[in-house]
Amino acid sequence: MRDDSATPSPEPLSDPSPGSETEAQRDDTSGPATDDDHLILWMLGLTSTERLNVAQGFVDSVFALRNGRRA
Amino acid sequence: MDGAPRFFDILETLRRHRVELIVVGGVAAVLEGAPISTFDLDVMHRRSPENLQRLLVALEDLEALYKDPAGRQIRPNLEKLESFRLHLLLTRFGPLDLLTEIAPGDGYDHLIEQTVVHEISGMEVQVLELAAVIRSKEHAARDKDRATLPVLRRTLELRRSQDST
Repeated sequence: MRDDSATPSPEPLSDPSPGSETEAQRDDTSGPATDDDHLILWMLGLTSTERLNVAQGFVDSVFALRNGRRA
Repeated sequence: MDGAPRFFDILETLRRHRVELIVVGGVAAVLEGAPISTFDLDVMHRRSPENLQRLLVALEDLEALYKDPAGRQIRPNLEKLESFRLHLLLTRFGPLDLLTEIAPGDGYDHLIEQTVVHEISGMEVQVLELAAVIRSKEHAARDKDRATLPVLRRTLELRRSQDST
């Protein structure tokens, strides 16, 4: 697949101290945080090319496993 | 042809042949930022005579055949492109589903107003915006479409939250 950008690995968000809120949480009026938020925010930080690379990489891994090869 | 779909290669071939299309479905959701897995490339095409002709040439380039349980090798032709509403194809870059509508009345001419342009490795592609992808899956009858709705909705929420700050 043609791509000229490396897809960065997801970086963990820093955990807030108990009882405190991050600035994003204080500004977020869209509902409580979910377990998927970290992954969603990582994906939203990628370019379109990188996002498609992520999807392609997952597909390639599954097919490699299905065909009996190490991913 | 039964290997992993090569999303970019299929799109690049279609765009190189100037096919007017909209990426819909799972790949559209991914391009819009949703972290979901998808194994299909769903594309809606404009049904003008000129675009169908360009599409046919692109499908020939892709060595596209209809998926056939009996294993027959059935190639698309203009008559089929004009009359079928859904084309389930296998190409040299993997599976490709061509749709003419995602719900009654929701064809290319209607949905083009609900698209955004994404640039993928220098190639501009019209992609159904996430809110419209969500609506299409809400109306879908398949469990696998509905299963991704929570993540799609949350993605849209977080994106809107980011856009408003």
